Amino acid sequence: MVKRILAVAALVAACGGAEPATKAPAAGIRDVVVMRTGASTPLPFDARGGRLTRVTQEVTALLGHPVVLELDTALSPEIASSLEETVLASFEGLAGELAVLRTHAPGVFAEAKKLERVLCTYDAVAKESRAALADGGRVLEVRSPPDRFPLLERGVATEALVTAYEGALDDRFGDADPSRLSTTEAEAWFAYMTKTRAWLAARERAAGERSARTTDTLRIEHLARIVALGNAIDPRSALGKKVKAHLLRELELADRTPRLGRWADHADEATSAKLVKGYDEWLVRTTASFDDEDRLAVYRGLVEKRFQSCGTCVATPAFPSFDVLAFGLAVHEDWARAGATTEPPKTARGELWHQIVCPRLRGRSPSRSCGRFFEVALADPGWRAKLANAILDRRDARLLESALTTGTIRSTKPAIALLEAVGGSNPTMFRQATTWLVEDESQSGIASALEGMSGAWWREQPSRRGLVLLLQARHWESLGPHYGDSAATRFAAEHGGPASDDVLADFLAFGPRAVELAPAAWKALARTASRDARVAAALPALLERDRAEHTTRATVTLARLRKAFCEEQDAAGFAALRAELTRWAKARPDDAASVSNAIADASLAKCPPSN
Amino acid sequence: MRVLSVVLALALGTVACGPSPDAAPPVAPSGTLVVVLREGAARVPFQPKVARILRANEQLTAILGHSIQIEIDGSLLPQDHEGAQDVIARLVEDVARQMDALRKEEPAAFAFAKERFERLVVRYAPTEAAERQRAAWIGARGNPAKLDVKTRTIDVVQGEARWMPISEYALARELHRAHEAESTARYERTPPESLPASERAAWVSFHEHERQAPKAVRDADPYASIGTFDAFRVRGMITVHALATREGDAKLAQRARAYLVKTIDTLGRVYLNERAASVDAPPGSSFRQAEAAYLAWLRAELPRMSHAEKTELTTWIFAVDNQGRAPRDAPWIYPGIDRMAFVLGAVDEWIRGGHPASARGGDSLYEKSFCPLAAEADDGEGRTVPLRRNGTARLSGAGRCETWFYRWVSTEPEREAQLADAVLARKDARFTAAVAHGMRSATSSKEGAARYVRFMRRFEGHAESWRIASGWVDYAEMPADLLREELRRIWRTSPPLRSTALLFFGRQASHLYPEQVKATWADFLQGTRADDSVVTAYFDEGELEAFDLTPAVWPAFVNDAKRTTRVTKAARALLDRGRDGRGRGAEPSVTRTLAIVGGLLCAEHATTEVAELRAFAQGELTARPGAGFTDVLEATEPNECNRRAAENGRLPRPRPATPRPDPRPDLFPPKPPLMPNELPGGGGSRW
Repeated sequence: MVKRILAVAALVAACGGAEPATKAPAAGIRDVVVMRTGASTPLPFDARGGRLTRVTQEVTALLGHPVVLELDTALSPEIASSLEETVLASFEGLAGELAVLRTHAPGVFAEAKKLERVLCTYDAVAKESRAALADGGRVLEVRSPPDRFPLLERGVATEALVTAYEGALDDRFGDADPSRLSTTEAEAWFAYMTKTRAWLAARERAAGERSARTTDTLRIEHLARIVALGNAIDPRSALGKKVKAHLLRELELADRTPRLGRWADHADEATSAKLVKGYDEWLVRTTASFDDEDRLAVYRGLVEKRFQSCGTCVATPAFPSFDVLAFGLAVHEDWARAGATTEPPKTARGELWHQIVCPRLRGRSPSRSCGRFFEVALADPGWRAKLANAILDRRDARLLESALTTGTIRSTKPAIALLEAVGGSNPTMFRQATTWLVEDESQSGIASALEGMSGAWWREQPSRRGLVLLLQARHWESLGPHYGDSAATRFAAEHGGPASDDVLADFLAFGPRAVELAPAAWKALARTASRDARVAAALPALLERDRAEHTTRATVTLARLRKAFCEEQDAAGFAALRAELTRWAKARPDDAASVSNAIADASLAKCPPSN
Repeated sequence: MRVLSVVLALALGTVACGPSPDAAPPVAPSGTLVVVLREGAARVPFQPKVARILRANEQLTAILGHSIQIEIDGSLLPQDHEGAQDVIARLVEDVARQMDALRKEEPAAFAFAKERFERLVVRYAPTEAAERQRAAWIGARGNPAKLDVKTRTIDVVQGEARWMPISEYALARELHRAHEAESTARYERTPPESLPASERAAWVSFHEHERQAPKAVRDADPYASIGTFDAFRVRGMITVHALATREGDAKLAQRARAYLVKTIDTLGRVYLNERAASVDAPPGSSFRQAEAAYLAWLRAELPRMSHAEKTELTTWIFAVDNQGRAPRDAPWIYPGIDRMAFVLGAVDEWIRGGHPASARGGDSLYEKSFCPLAAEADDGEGRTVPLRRNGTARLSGAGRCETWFYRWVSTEPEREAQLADAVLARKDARFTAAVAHGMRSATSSKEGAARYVRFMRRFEGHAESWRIASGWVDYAEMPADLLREELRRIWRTSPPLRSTALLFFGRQASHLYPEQVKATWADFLQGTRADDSVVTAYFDEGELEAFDLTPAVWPAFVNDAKRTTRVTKAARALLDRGRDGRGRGAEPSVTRTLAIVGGLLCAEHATTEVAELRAFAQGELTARPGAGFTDVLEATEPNECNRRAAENGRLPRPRPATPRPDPRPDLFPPKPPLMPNELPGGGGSRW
């Protein structure tokens, strides 16, 4: 029979403890008398014995009763003082662990309060100390290899207590139906499911083999149970909020359909389907209770993370009843109603606006840190059709602008399809959108993409010929006068002759940018008095833009018009130009320099001699 | 040691009987365990550890200014006196070391320690020690020490006996924490005016660190603290500054002032990064009140601010967001601060000081605000040339200059008008050049060029200023059409500026194809050729460059004999002065140009002028041997001249200069001459 040494806390405590911290001598350290005592003599009190007394008292105070430490003699040091030290350190460690459990793990601590004996036994083959609770939690059995200090190593008791606690929880809740639990039980169940690995660990143990399919299926099942709780309780209750926070965090893992979680690729279909169904139900049921933080989490889970994983699959619903497009459009509407600020606040709401709407000032490119919502909305035909309908139903030009600018950061082709879809039903919105697209030089990408549609539009949609001419003129201007004029001439030849007066009128109605581009389009225009009059009448718009932006961009346009009139020997054109500019100069005497050359040169006599 | 030795001897003696301690090392058969026991070293006749305790305590007393009581739980001590003395010695040494560190690193906390730390208790309490250290379990740093301010006692709990009773600067950390807590309680939200004067320095010390306002305050008032701009703190600092100034506490006033000057950074970051909050802040909000108080303080103090303080302000007063968001020039930014007056004040200081160069390598107020140019410029090939309109500029600092001010100006026509008026009122050539250069640098895009042209129109009524300012038109980057139209207008409407316009247009014309020359010049001149006064002024405009361009601008000159006289006069002046100002370096360029002019005169059958030029060349040939005048004589030689005349005036293209023989050809082989399209302004429009 193994001999044991019993260190009974109660008995040791009876040996007397050290005095509590006493008042120090008034004169300070100088008065400590240690210097006068012989160096090799023992202290006049038992320092180690005092500690042992104190620590066992503390363990008793923590648990409400003494604990007996039983040592296998095979584990005992041979020197008495070492034995005392190891017993002391074991109790010190136990006291510390109990104190921490009391604060941070009350459930485990409640389990620990049953503890009456700590039985340390020798195990020659063990590499590490192992402990387990026995006798209904009253005995902590520790099996240790030799030469361990302390005998009860740090963390061993805690591990055993936690394991026992989780085991008890699993016995209680492992197969419980979360939807049938009382509120108090549901709290405990949720803590058990989310703060411990007990459920998963027990089922993995029960399954025996550790395959990816088993593990993933268990994880999905685990989440499905929490979803079931979410569907059974009020999302606005305290527990409901905790469950909501947990499920929204998990939502970020919903990167593929129908399976949830990139770590759950191998889960079986039936379990996955069960989870998706439950999650879907929960989302629909809980959406009304979402605050801004929650909505941001939904965005991150169902748009951002999924986009990173599978691109435009975002448009394929992960959850059949939860409409991600409608969710995004609601965020856009919220932004518009709040004043359509270009400076979103640094809040969850502002971050949502930044990610989905991506507000920007006209003339500035959208930030690269914006989200991909509209990119998906444009790229997916189904979403694009719904988006177009939403724009048309709401007559929301701002939504169209957001979609065109934010959704085309990386690709411009889908923008054309959206514009076509909107323009087919609402030409006014189409016109507004194309006007600012051409004006806004930061959107040259889309404008260039629109150029690709010119041929078809010219043939099939006469009402868009002004726009086609404008888009072409942008291109001709970029070629320079020599090649640009040739291209314009060829355009006229290939499109049934020079553009008519109606087309010119439509072209000029696009505003100052169109007027600026008129010389570039000149060779494509029919030479008529009406042309000269229309262009001259449109010039003040360009000059006013210069005044507003304090630039001189009209100067070059006027010089190019002069060149065009000179080449055509168009005295009437000069007359129309001179009359209009003279009127403008009279109204703007402070800005006469802007039209000085144009007025002075506005006659055939002032044309430069031909080379 | 003796005690341990005895125990060891007893223990091992039972295992094997070894020889006496003094025996020689044994030679024993294999398999026999031999243990040698020796006596420990002889002990010294005094107690060194006791001496350590005394000396360490003396040092601790010297550091703190007073002794402290130390009480250590007996259960933490080793079983014997020597061990106990050692632990006590280490404890006192550790306390002294920690107080010394506190004195050096955290003077304020040390001052607190001197007053609040009189007693140290080290207790054995495993449970309490675990609880005090529990923060470590959740990633924070626990502390076994705890100060009780009332009893001035630091209580340290230990969960086990260790040779070093106090670890990881626990005392210093606790004193620092307690000091912070006391300071926070005392100063965090207490207005400085309600504190005794003796505590205001402590208030400033506390608030100098940019602490975030308490959460409760932020929750109650969203405008109490935006970013790091804490309304309470800013207003408090203003109060401290006022009180300290009134009471003659210059040191404290300076500390508060330094903080307030730096606050421009904090406020600027609010405008930049917390734009929504700062725009939305209602008029009576704490942010608005503090902002108004701060800006009022700034307005009042600006006239008294040092150069360094103004430099500190400049960065944030004009910084413009480059991240693609709105420029920080909206009216709600720094309301009431006249930023234009601020810069013009610096300009006036600079002018009064004789245009001082930056002493700190481009980091001064001037470089950060209006960016003056050096008195001399680099011609791009490492040669220093007078500051002229040649498109190159050297900044007066160490090549670092900010254009924030000019970008701010260029966003509003009113500001441009103000700046132009300021330039014209000061009539300072170097300021004028700085503004022209700065405005051009700040508007580098195509639209910027169009804006710059409009800005330059403000100087047209002031010929000298316009000439200086126009020197910074970077003609190589300006849209050719825009520049040409502007020059045409100036030629027609502003006679005093014609010489400059001619120089600028000459740069464009030098790249024309021969067949374009006639029409292009006719269009530019609009019926008015350059008379003698314009030609005279022209040669003064660009010095060597203007002279080099003579063949290109030749069609602009009135066709009379005076033009040749002006050319030869200008040539002589250039040769006298030279490229380097000492009569050297201009010869190849001048004689080449004269040879081309000779050819042009021949083509025009201007025999009198040809003769005049030939006579000039003949005279100079003897005066300046090796200058290349034989080229001129060759071009004006009658037979050659007749041949040119027969070609009916085709305008010869300027030839590149003949490279001068290099003194070290092996080291620096001559570069091939630039082709026309490689010259500045090459590739201009040719219609």
